[in-house]
Amino acid sequence: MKWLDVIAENSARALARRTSRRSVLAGLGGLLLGSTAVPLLPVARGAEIKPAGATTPGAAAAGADPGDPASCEYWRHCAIDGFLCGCCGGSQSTCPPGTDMSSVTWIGTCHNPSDGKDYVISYNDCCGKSSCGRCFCNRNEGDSALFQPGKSNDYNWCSGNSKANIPYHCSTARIVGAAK
Amino acid sequence: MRLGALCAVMALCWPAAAWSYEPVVNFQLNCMGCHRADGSGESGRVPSIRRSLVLFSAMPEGREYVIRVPGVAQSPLSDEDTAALLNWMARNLSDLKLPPGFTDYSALEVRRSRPHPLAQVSATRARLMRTAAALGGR
Repeated sequence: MKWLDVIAENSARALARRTSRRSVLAGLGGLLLGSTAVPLLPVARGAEIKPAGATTPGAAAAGADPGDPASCEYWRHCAIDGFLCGCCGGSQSTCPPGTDMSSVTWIGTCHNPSDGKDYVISYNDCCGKSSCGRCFCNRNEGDSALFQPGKSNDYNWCSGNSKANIPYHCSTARIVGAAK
Repeated sequence: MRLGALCAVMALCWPAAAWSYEPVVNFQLNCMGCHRADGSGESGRVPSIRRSLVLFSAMPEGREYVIRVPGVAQSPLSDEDTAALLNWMARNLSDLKLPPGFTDYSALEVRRSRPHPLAQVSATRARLMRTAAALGGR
């Protein structure tokens, strides 16, 4: 094991010859100060406020999905009637833990301002817990009266689930595809 | 004069063009909410179309039924779009292959049967399923 001692001693002495104590202190100080300054830089912090899974994989690129998914004015919410799942522990395309997505739903189109195209949006409800109560939105573009059930957002779509008569919790707004 | 004619043609075509979608999008907007993306429906609540549509399309009474069910007859689609949608569904959402003599639905056929409401939907469907089975449909 003597050879290991020799290598260690030689490299330590070489390092001591090359570097001064002050340069080590300066480098360490810079590193400490610099690392505290990094979080203050103006990078897009807004992204952290958005609900988990805000951008759907396979949907559109971040730039093509403009707006705040936690607001009623978000483009996909053009015909939503209920609590936004993104404010309730889920996202605009997934249900919060402990709830099930209704298999039947109502479907409409919304205009995406970033590419000027219309998209088919499916407003599946999440069911199995009492009403979430946060971020209530009621926008009715293309909504129809109750006598056209498939075009109405006033129904409690949880009642059509395979797990019947379970309570409504919140609503998603999932992209089905381009309306062409 | 030519410009005037062009404007007249555009005025005639524009409203239809503005609201006309491909059959797959019409399916998404008008059927998929209840019948689900693959047409399999919701057991006990929403009937599957994956076998019944092609089976019924082989019988005159079945074709009438397909057009008169509430979801088809009362949809906001035109007769032309409804016919195109039914033909698309028969080709894309069926477990059964199209029989060799399959006749496409036409706008005229839709127009003829659509105005007559179907009172007993479930009973009629059950009877047609029995008839189709007797005719050799699996």
